[in-house]
Amino acid sequence: MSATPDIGRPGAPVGAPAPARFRLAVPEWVRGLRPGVILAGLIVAFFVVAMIVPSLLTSQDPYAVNLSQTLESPSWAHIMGTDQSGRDLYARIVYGARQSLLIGLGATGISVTIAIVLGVLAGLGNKWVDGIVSRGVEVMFAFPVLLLALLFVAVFGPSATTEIFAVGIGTAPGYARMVRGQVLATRDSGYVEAARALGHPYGSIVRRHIFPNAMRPLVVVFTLGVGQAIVWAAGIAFLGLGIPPPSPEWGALLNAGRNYITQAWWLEVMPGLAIVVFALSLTTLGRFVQQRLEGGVNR
Amino acid sequence: MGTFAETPGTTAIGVKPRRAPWLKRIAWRVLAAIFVLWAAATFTFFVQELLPGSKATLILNQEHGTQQTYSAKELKPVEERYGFDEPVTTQYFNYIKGLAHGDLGTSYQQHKPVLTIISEEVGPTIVLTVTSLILAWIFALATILLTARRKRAVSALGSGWEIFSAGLPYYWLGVILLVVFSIELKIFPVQGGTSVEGLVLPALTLAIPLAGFIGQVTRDEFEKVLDQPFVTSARARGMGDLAVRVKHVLRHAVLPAVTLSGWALGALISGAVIVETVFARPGIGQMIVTAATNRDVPLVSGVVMLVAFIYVISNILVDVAYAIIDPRLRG
Amino acid sequence: MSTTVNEGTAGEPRLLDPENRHRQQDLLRVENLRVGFGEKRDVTEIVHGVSFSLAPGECLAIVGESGSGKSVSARTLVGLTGGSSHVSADRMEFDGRDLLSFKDRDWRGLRGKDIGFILQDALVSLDQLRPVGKEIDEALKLHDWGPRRERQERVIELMELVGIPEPEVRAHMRPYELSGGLRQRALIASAIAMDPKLIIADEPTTALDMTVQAQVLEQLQAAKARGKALILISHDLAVVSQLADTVAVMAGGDILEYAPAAQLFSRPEHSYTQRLIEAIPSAESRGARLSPVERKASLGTARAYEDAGAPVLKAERLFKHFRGPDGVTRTVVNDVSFELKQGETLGIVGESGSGKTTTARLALALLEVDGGGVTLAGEEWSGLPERERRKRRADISVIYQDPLSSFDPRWTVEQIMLDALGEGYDSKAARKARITELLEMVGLEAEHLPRRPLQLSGGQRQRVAIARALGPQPRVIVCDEPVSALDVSIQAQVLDLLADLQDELNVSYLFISHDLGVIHHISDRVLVMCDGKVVEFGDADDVLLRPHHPYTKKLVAALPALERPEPTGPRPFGRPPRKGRPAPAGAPDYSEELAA
Repeated sequence: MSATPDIGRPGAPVGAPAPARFRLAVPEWVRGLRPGVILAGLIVAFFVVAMIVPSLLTSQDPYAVNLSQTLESPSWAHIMGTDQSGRDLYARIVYGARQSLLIGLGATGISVTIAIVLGVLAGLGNKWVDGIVSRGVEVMFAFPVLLLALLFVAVFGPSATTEIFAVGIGTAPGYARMVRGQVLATRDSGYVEAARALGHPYGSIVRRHIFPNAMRPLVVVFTLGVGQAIVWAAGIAFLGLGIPPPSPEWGALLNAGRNYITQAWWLEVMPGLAIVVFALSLTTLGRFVQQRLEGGVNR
Repeated sequence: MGTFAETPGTTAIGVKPRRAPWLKRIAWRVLAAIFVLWAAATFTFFVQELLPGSKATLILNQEHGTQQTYSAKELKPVEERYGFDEPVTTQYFNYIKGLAHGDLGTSYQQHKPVLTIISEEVGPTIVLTVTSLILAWIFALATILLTARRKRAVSALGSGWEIFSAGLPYYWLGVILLVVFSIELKIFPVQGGTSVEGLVLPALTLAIPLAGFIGQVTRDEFEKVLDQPFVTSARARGMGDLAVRVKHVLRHAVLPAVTLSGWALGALISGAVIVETVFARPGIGQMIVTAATNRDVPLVSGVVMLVAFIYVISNILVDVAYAIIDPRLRG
Repeated sequence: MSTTVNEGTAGEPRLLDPENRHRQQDLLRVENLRVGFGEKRDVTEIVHGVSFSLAPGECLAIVGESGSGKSVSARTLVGLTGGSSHVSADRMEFDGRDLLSFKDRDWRGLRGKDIGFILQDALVSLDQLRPVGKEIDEALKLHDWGPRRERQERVIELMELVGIPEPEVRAHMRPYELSGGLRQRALIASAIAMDPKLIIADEPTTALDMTVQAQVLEQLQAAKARGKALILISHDLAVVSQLADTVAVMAGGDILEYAPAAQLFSRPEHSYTQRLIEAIPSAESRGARLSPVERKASLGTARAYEDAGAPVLKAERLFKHFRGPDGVTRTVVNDVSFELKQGETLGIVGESGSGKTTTARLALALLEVDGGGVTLAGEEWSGLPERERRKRRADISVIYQDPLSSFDPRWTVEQIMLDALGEGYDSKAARKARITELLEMVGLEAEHLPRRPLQLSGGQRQRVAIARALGPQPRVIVCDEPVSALDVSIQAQVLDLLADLQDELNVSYLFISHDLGVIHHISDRVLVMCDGKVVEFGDADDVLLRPHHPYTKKLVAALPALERPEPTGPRPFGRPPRKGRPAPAGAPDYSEELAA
């Protein structure tokens, strides 16, 4: 090729990478796994199983009332203790996973849809469209999730649907702003201009360049959002504005445990722990996936 | 490179910021703020209109503690009192007009003006919110100044703590703090009321997650700025590391967090609702939850509008602060 | 940062100054300096044992391309190599003090006071949020120079020293409010505030307009005349030749050649130095190749165009206005006209803000004109609706200064190339054949197809960009600062490649650059722009060797020409002239030496 070597930065790959001598057929991303990520993955897997087949994870019946064993602190028989009706808390948490996750997914679905529609409109539109949509998003920001939930409950009454819509609409503006930012950044990028110079029509550019590049970093954000949505929904239920008892939904558990904080702290702490651990695991996994994606493309 | 008004090759005096664009921007901001408030009010009003069934029926049922239907004759006086018999557009205009005069409506349940009810209860909430915001900033800044871009372990610790704490729900953190410090260790009172001791745990509950959030945002910016050449210039003049962080980097790095604070105030108030419930602390928190459960729509919308108002005002303040911190934005 | 003294291998007497570089009056002595980066066991050595010395009033220039370790070597002298660096040397003495034993506090006392450090581009090297007066004052304050009032007077004095007019007013301004030249002077003032004995300037002229470069060099020259020692780090040999007494050429962490400037430029000994000097594009290099890379055997066939005589790109009275963030409407392109013939290169040269990039985008019709028009291949171009224009975009392509940002970050080279092919290919095989052919034309191979741009070097990326631009078989390629971000030797290869392609394919270039040397080397005709207007237009030699307009004269005067004293004896190197081009008048004739 050329007689002068390209003197690159030390350590930077120049030309062909040296051939590996001996390699198992292990994909690159597996080798990057750290114990924290593996743990997070296991936890998420646990809850997904809890959502689909809860009976695999516990032999107890979450609705079984047993008045001889009320308010027992955590022990070998009941790893997370029992509640005021003698029901096993661990079982209730496991069975509650389905409703909680569904609420979280539903709310995130609404939130993401709104965010993409508004964000893309604002990002791709001209100054006027952007201005109007951005004003609209500003208005949405003025309604914190919880207050929106309170308003909906005051008007429509407490229910799971109220939770889903309140969280979905309340968290949408944050995502919408992110989407808009991403779309604007890709719209103004060098490769979009290069594509225009090559003569590609606008629609093709949006489809092949703007949309994929704008959305890619956001997939992870939306995944994290599911965890956040569950946290918010549980908060609403904690105040007594969600699904009524004896539902084992995590927020409802929080609400039920409120009166027993001084006597049976585990009733409040354990469901909260489940929520926190699940959300944290999603966050860890999400960050890992994000690093992998960006490492291959954007480093 | 270079500002628009300079001519290369000449040693022209720099551009002095003109007054007009600066004032114009403020005027635009105020106008935008009014628009946001109007839109919020409109949204709130129409949500109220979506109430299934008749509002008058709801009011009467709340009063009597029943769940029944009423005859038109029974409903009429209620409808007249609240103006439900008028066409929707008239109700809407009255609502907006009322808001402009500071009239947030009348509570269905307590039959008092909403503004009065709120002003009676809002004091401790404001104290809690402002204290939490200040604490959050202090925590975040301290963590960043001490742990950003230090030895790998320290940085990772700081960053990891921020991620962890930012995701903590108020209800859970509050309960943990309550159980550990009030119930078990008995350092703080369980029912603190409005005393200073009663403020500590609730304020910490609100401040820690927000500090994590502010910290995350600022840390990214901070580390980026640490690599900038002007920081090396300062070091090359003989400035020590901490001094560089405080005197040069900080000002550049806090800008995203300042923007955040505008939103944070509104979010803190809504978080206060939860925290006040956990710690049984007086404030609008318990009041508004009861109101929602009792379907007292005007009271809840009143609080919502109030928070929207606070949000809009704090955003304007944030813009002003932004322009002070970064003079390039002054126009 | 950790610093250690090298122990000699046991039993051997350690030779100090093995390369005999130190002298009695030296202010600075560095011997066998090694710098590595990394943690504990994973340390990569970047600088492999370099030595140099410096006396007061002298200037040492350390020259090299990116990755050569020149900047790192200089930063060891102020202890700013960074947290994960490991510095060791046999000797590192400044003004009688042993730098190797320095702790943090010692460094802080030294920096700014005994050694001043100037970075490049004041726009990023000064705190944008603070007035320049404060930045200058900071140096004084840090070293307890005196009470506030006296410091303020000193700041004004310093600003006058570096030639900033009306310093009392300017001291309150922030860097972005000052013109390029003034803020560079302010940066220099902040570095010399405590009157340090040694001034290190790290790439002080890179990314600056040429007239600003000239001002910076003037200031450094003045400092040298005041008896300061100067270390100049640069990749630009021409800049260095103006100031340096001694030159050290670095590559890959080693000093390849270390010689007095006069000797180095007239009779360079090391082949790398020779290549570096050879690679500099200028008036003298016109018609010659810049790099030792051989020309590709076949680069494809030239297309014959019916309208060979007529201009392929013609711009008439172009206007473009922009509204700035402050509401002021500026005319960025002001009555600009030019024409470009098939197979020729028109160079557009100007400083930042001259409107040359905007003109290029108007020519590409990526921006709509506010006045005037552009015709491409004789037909209307700028006035067409985009729908019509798209069909003809194959006739005009573009390559950018930063190719990486012009590639979709997710795509491989293959995808990038296929994207540029357009219609007219029946099968996948035909397309694959064509893109392989294109890659070979620019000196790459089929093995590069599955790679991502991030895995390629800067030069390779630009080649991919050129290959992509050639895909649609254009008649004109707009080159927007295509070599400004490349190292000198890579720049030379790319310029040669562009020249070769033009010879073979008969393609025209609209070549935008701020670098007068590059423009002079590659252009047939030149357009000089200032403030949106065309200031001068004509044949390259006419405009640049015999300028008429005062602005052109100023630009040409600001160009640092390589000070090459007349060589004695036969020149040991030379390059074959470009095919089909007459050697410019007055150029040395190498044909005999080559034939021998």
